[in-house]
Amino acid sequence: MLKSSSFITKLLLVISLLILIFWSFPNMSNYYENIESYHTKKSELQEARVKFNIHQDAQIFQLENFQQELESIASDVKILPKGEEKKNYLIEIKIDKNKIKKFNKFIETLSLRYLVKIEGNQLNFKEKEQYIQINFTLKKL
Amino acid sequence: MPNRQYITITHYKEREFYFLNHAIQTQDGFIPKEIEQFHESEKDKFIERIRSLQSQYTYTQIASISLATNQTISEKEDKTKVSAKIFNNNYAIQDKIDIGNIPTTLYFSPFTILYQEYKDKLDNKLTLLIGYFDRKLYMMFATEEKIHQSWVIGTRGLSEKQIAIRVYKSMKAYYKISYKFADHIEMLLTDDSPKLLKVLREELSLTILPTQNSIHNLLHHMAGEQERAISSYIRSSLSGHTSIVSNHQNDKGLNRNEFTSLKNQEMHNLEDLKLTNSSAYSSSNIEENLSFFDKVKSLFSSKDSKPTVRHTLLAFVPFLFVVGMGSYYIVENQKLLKEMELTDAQLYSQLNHTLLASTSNDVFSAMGKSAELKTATISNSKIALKGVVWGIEPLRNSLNDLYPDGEFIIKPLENFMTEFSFNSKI
Repeated sequence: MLKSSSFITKLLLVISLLILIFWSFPNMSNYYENIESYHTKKSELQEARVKFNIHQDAQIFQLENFQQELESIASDVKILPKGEEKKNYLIEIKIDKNKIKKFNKFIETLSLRYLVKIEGNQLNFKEKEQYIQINFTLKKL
Repeated sequence: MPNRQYITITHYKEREFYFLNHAIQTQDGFIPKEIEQFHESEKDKFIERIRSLQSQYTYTQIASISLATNQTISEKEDKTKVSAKIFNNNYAIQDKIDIGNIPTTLYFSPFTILYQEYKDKLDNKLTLLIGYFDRKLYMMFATEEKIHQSWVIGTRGLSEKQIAIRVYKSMKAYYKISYKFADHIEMLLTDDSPKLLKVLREELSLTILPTQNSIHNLLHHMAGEQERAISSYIRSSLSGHTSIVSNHQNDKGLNRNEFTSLKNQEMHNLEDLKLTNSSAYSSSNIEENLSFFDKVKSLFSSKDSKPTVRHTLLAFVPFLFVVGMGSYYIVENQKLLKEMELTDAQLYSQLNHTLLASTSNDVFSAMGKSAELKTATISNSKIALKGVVWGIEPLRNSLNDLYPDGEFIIKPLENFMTEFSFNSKI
């Protein structure tokens, strides 16, 4: 059948074969390799969520939700956007000295609940009477 | 005064010789005269002899045969080439006819001669018709409905046994493309070769029915009847379908079908018939001992090709499919990479936050009842603490247990209290 085909037909078939071998198959193979790696990472995250008893995927950072959650453990919550892109937020809270463990727990599971990270992985503490004022910068992922 | 009998003059060239014959056509068949032979150096004499015969008889046709190897069978008539209709939608096609300036009015393809010879024997079973002309095998696989495949194989220099093997190989080659074997073989030999007949019978397992006839006789037969000649001779698309008109149906000297006058013959003379488009077609010979490279190369030649828009469009289907498939995976992969990047960042952040929370817990635990923090900077790379201490040694021990390389400094204050500072890398 190939022999009775025109030159253009044969050329197209050969080009198709070359594209399949050198482009389509490598892309397909790359995709399936990546998807395997992706599933492994997803399962690691899932394990972490199970460990901390979190039942939902991390949500995109929303100021209102985050503020509400933070207010349940701290007072005087101030969230100030940093920069024009509004990807960074300066967080300033006051927390009772006795609730510092609760705050640490909050930090520990932060990335499992919100797609954020603490910029520089740094927390600043300052004592103010019975409270501790904590500052840190949050960045959206 | 020219004779009013109908005469067919036949000629062909084999190697360096021209062979010429003429026959008187009668109602009961043709009566051939002696075959004349001319060396190619005597071409003028040869042409002069043809002209002489033409002038002797009023009604003549000059028939010749195309022994070119680049003849193919096609289902369509190609207007840019010369073609002869075999039957139905089967045409013998070749690039051009180039017979020099030798007078010729009817030019036949071995394929059409083969068909005319065996058409009554064709049925729905596959028959391999082989014509052995000028040491070439003109082969076609045919049923009563169509010619399925054709090949021309050169055999010059081969022994009879090798020729028989080539016939068998061509059958196998056809089987590879159609999964059909010919039910039987009819073979028309134009050379007197009893040995070849014997070997073919011995070598080929299938029933082979060879018959022998000379090229001249075959041409006389083809040109002998108007209907047969009209339906079979090679036409040039450039000159249009020239018809052979019967002007003298009831002429006394010719009781059977009659043909054109000498004047008309000149009109049909093919001596100037040349087409320029010769590169598109090549022969469909089966070559022995083809190398792999030759086979690949042959795939790209246009042998027997009947290129249609449909075929070309169909070839776009796999092309579009592989391009589409590649593009799909590229797009999906890019989406996946973005997802993976986010997942990676989330996992990395989670790890860092766990470490940060742990460090913070450790620091506040170390303070215990021994000290109180005033300021602290806690990160995953360093800690810097400052506060008031009551139990210096317990605090120092706790901090040194956690961070042995840390620097613990105490400073007495005026109000009898002691300030401490602690810096360490993690």
